[in-house]
Formats: sequence, C-alpha cells, structure tokens
Amino acid sequence: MVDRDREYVEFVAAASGALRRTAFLVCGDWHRADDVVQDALYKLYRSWSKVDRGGNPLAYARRVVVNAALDSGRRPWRREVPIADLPADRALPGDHADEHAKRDEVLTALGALAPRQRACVVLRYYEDLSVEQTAQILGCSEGTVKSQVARGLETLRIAIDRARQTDRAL
Amino acid sequence: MDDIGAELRRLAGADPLDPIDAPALLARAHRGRRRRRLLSAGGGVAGVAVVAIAASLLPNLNTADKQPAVTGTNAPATQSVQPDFTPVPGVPRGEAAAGVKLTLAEATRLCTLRYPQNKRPLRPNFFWSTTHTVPYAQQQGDRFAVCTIPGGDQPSNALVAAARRDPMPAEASAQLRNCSVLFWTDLRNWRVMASDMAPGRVTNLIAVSPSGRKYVNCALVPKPDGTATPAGSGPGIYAVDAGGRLKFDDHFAQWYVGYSQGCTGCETKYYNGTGRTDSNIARIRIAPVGSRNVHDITLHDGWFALSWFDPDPHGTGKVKLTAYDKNGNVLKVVHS
Repeated sequence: MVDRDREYVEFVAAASGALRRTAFLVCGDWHRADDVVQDALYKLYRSWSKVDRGGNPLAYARRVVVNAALDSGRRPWRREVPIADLPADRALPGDHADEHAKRDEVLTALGALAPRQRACVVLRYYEDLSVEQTAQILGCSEGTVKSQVARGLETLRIAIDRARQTDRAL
Repeated sequence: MDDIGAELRRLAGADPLDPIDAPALLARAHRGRRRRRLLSAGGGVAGVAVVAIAASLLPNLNTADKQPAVTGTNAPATQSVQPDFTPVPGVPRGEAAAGVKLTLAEATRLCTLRYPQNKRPLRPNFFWSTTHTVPYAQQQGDRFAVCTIPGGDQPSNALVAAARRDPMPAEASAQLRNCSVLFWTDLRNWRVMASDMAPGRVTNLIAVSPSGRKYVNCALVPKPDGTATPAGSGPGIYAVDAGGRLKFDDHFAQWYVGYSQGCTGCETKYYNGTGRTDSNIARIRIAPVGSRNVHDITLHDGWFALSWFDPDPHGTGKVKLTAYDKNGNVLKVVHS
C-alpha cells in the first residue's frame, strides 16, 4: 500500500466514528449519518494529497460531513418519516424504555431545531468548536452562529429540564 | 452549557452501527478514480480533436510576423511566495513523520542536515526518533551538545525569525508556530489540550494531532537555541496510545510533578510536568508544602501541563495535589 493510501486508511479508521456521531446529531438518523460520512470520505480521497498537505484533514472532513448532513435532509427521497420508534409517552415506568424516552425527548427537541441551528449547537457544544470555527464550517457570520446557538440552547434546555422532571416523577 | 454537551455526547455515544470499513472504502475510492481517469482520457481525446479542427479553420495562424515579447524592464507577472514549510528529503510530511523510530545512520543524516556546524557523531547506544532530542558523542574537552532530530517540515526563514522575535507567546497559534519551528513539524493545526506558562522561564504545552493519534509535548523557553530541552524523555512527539493515562495517586505526585531550584543559589522552587491522567479531572490545585501559594491548572480530557514558579522560599518541594471535577467537587487529594 502506498503512503497516501495508508495514511488515508489510518485517517478513516481513526476519524470515521467521530464524524458519524457528529453527522447523526445533525441529521438525526444513524443510517443516514453513515451514508453521509461514507460519501464524504469517498470524495475526500480524491483530494487527499492536497488536504493532507494542508495539515488538517479532520477539519476538512468535518466541514464536508456537516454540510452533507444538512443537505441530506433536503433531498426528497430522504423525507420519509420513521415509524418504527415508539413515541416517548408510550414508555412505561420500570422498564428499560424510560431511559429511551428521556433520550427521545432530547433527540426530539434536537430534531425540532432548524437544521442550521441544530448544526450550530452540535458544533459548539458537542465538537467544542469556537464561534469562529463554527462560522467557517457553516459559511455564515459569527453573529449568526451566536444568535442561532442561543435560540437552539434555549429550546434544548427546556426539553432537557422536562425530561429530568419526568425522570424524577417516575 | 455542560449539560447540553453531556446530553449530546450521551445521544451520540449510542452508535448502533458497525465501524466503517476503511479498506473497503479505499477500494471503492480506487474504483472511482479509475472510472474518472477513463472518462477524462476519453473526453481529452475528443477535446483535442475539436480544438484541432477549429484551429485549422482559423486564418493567419501560421504567419511569423508576430512581435517578440519585451523582456528585461518589468518584473515577472507572477512572484513566487515562499511556503512556510518545505519537505525534508527522505522524510514524510507532517504528522506521519513525527515520533518515528530511526537507525543511527538515518538519525545522523538528519542531524547533519539540521545542524551542519556540528561535525561530531551522535552518541551510540541511544534511541533515535524524529522530533526527539539526542546527545552527540562527547570526548574530553567537548561541550555537551544535542540534536533535536527534525521531522518532515523544514520551517522557512520567516517562521524561524518570527519564533525568535516572540519565543514565549501567550497565544495558542503562535505557541504552535514556535513548536513547529522547534520540531520541524507543521503543528499549526494541532489542538492545544493544555498549556501553562511560567513567565520568563518555560511554557509547557501539550497539543494533539488532527487525527488524534499523536501528541506533542513542547517546552518553549525565552532564549531558544534551536533544540528542544531536555534531552532524552520530555519534549517530542509521541503516539497517544503509547502514553496511556497516569493514575492520579501519590506516585503521580512524586514522579510527574517535578521541581527544581527557582534560581541559582536561592530557595524558591519551579514546578513542572506534562502528561495525561483521569478524564474526569477538570482541575488540579498544586499546593507546595511550606509555601503560602497555590497554583491551579486546567485539564482537558485528562491532559495537563504545569509550569509554575513559586516565589515563596519556604516551599520544601513536596506538594499536595487536589483534583477537582468540572463542578468543582474534590475528587482526590494526593501527596508527594
């Protein structure tokens, strides 16, 4: 295996899990996240030597993945609604579904955010990126990131508080 | 804000899918590249044919009455910009070359390239890796000298000059620039996980590579001499897995928080250390026994860097370390 390929494989092995987790938080579906990351990494190979020389392939891949995850929700064939998951209010106290319900509440709140608002929150509070880095990835101003994050956080915090109150009540 | 981050991490932590198969993805990428090459070759042949036909139809293309270009009076239209880093012959670029084991012959070649003024052989019976600092052989009368074996990115003169002008900057990007100059490895996109500065003495810094597989332990001093100090263990680039996490206990306090004299002939102490310990520790308070001063360091995912000059002359050099979690609760107290 040539150096370029070896480095690429090492990078994919090291970074694909983290990228898929980020993509999941942005798009809300593990399988879609998996598709998005595989597509992004496939495209990354074309420009690997240039990206690798640039010194930060993870930052580049993250930008591609986040934007592809945002874009994936806009494609018509992705607009199906999953029906296999039970709604949160079906969970019964005492069974393992109550943890699932709590997760669902936060996940639902995350899904209720506007896509770019969700991406701002994920990049700032999951990836721990700065406002500047988040703005670069999303191609918007730092002021936009700040306002989107503030609104998104408020919505999420209410959802989390509600989930915790439900927990205590159970 | 921490609760939001924690909830997001909890959600993301439940990945139900198998890891992405990197070799399979590579094979897919190879197939795609072959397909594109075939298509572009076909397109190129067709394009050349179209251009040739069009050119043959244009008038006066074969006449030789064109004026020669004027030369000599103007600067060239394009001016090359010197890159910040250039390749080191025989060494891969960037992270791939950092902390790689070498033979004595290869280490000698790289040290000669970096320090051509030093004609002595390297000391045998040592371990040689790129970015690590190794001693030259010493005979009676020789001064002790070391070589920081270069990585794959030779810094430009402009970068070297910038590092010399500001050897102990406070800003992370400038710190990484200076560490890049020190190790001949472009670290500018690495992520600083911990740093601590004793003004006028040493800045200790830990940064992790973009892939997360390597970390640099860098020490910046006010008067750099072109080598990382000290020789042997310490500053250099290492694999993250190789280091593991240090258990936060009395042994940690004894061995990983070192001290030395604060200045020649005085009783003050300088404390230093770098490494990685338990991930739930967000802050460590260093309280030297006998001193009235304390010093706090912040940890990120367990990474820590300490560089602190305690001006109190009553410190004995022994320390009490208190670890706190992110909410400020005491996790553990250990002593050296």
